[in-house]
Amino acid sequence: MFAEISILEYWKSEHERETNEDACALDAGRGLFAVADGAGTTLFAREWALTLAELFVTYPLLSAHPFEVEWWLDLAWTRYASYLLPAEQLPPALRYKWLREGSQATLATLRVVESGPERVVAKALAVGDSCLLWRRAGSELVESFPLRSPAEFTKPPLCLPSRAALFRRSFHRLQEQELTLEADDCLMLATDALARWVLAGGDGSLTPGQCFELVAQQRLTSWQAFVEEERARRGLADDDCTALVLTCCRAASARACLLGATQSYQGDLVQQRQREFEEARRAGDRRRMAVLYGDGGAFQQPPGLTTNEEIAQARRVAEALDELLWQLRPLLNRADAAWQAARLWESYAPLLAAEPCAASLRRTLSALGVRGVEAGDEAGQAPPIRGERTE
Amino acid sequence: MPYLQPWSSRQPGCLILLIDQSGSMDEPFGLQQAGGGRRKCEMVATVVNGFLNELITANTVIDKEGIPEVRPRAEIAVLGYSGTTVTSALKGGLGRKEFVTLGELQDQPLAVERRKKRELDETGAVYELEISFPIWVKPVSREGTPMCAALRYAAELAQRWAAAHPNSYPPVVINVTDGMATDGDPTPIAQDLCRVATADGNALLFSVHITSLNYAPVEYPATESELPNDPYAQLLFRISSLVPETSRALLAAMLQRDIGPQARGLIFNGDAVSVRLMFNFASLPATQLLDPNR
Repeated sequence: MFAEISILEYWKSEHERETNEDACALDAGRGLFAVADGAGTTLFAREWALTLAELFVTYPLLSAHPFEVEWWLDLAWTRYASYLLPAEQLPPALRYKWLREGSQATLATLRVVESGPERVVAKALAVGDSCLLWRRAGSELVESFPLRSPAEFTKPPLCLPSRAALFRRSFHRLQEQELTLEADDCLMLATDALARWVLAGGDGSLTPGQCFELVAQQRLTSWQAFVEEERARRGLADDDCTALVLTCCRAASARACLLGATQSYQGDLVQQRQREFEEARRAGDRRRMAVLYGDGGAFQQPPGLTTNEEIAQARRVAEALDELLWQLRPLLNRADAAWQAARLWESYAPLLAAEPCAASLRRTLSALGVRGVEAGDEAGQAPPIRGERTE
Repeated sequence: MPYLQPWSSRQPGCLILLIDQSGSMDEPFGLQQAGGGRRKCEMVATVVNGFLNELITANTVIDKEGIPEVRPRAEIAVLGYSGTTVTSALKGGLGRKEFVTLGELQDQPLAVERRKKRELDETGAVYELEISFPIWVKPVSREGTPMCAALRYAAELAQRWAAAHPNSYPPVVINVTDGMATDGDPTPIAQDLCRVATADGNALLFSVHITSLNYAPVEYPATESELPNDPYAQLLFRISSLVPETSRALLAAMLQRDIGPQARGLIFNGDAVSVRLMFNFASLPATQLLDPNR
């Protein structure tokens, strides 16, 4: 299948191209598309949105499994940290905000998994209020994902954070949607202001189908004038407005390119991941094992000497460590921090008392005055990784 | 539809904070309330300073070289009233201006307190952060409650501001008080204030009443019957503006409960948390998209 693709980007009135906090990226040959919307109240929102969108089309995230998402975000955090200033160089007033909030962004992605002559199968992943909207050939109906109605946009959106300490696996959940598309079907990835405007039928004087069609007709050259006019006429919010619009077609043309597909991770990435997994396993670092294993799709089967039970145990340890950290953070500066931390530790000690990945936490608890906590961070003290060997 | 214009660099918003600095503000809060035990004037000053700092940082962008820029999205007046006078609660050069921008506030705090705070990284290791607490407003408490004079002055300021910014979101006035006006009935003056308008709607007057009693706050009531049987509470209800339709859903999300169309911008028996939440709600147009579909 081929697709005509339009990239539409224009920004809110107080922004310029360089300060636009939306980002989009695509690699049509591999069937990869992404839009991200940086939260303007956080610092470096544009850079974080760009990082997420560009990473997706380089190394796409293949599933919404919480551990897989964390593995992929770990790649994003590493990229992001490498080209930003260290926190110490920020003005003091902003350093705390930066460390407390990081940058935040919503994300909507589309990955073509099968591109045949008659149909395209694609998978969308999204978090927050950046959306995928689509309309079938000959239909007026506009469908959308993950938000379905304009009213849903009034809630503050869930955003992906730029720092590992701010990520909570059980909270930052991505949603998945599979789509089958045929010739003349049209879809768009859009950031929130535009998605809401389409689903609301502008100011209510149009149908969502009419608004969708108006956007689908635009080209980059007409986009600025269109956005400014609809802001003045039909209630398009003064916000950054970004969309990637794809119209499926059977034949190549001057505007249509061949739509490729991506079904798996690239080999080099898989090999690197497997190497890191083995290193984590040798170090007895179950948390790292759980994250690197992700949903297991990159491994086909439990790697090497690893068993399914070992993976399950690694995930339990990772969950326990992260939950304990989340509960401990707000208590840390309280006068009764030691007592509160001791109560928490009682619940988690059976899983974490001897885990190398919890050594820093145990040192913290011990320094707080929690009794009976051994740091146990020497490699030799790690409990052996048990489980039925598959070899 | 009114109340749709975001506070932006090109069309800033206007926020006027009126702070009761009468003698009764020296009394402590109800012990069972958030902020309980502290003097009311101290709590209000702390909340105002924290709010202004958060408003500044929420509207700060920073480039990759680390150069920060505070977007001039709001023009702010902070007025204190006590005895028979209404004066700026800001000091120095800031106190001589009718309105100050967020950038001017950032550049000229009275003092900056620094405190250490412990944080945990993703591995569980502790690190210490130094946090800056800029101070612009100090606790003051003396004599009577000239609320009428304060509202009258706020109306004059709002009128001048609206004339200079005819297309902006209209001025938002928040009156934080613990008692009755000692200079007359504020009702007609509040009505005058709310007649000030821009093309985006009439000025909004929100009221926060704080108390030394251990009563739970009544937040954003839709009818007088939700309030205690107290003429003062009913007066504040009548002079407080309706919550604009365009920000009702955002307020509902902040409070995690439904907000009806008749809800008013009033908190009765407020505590530290509800006062702070009112400030955050009033400044939503600086940070959130308002709802054009309402």
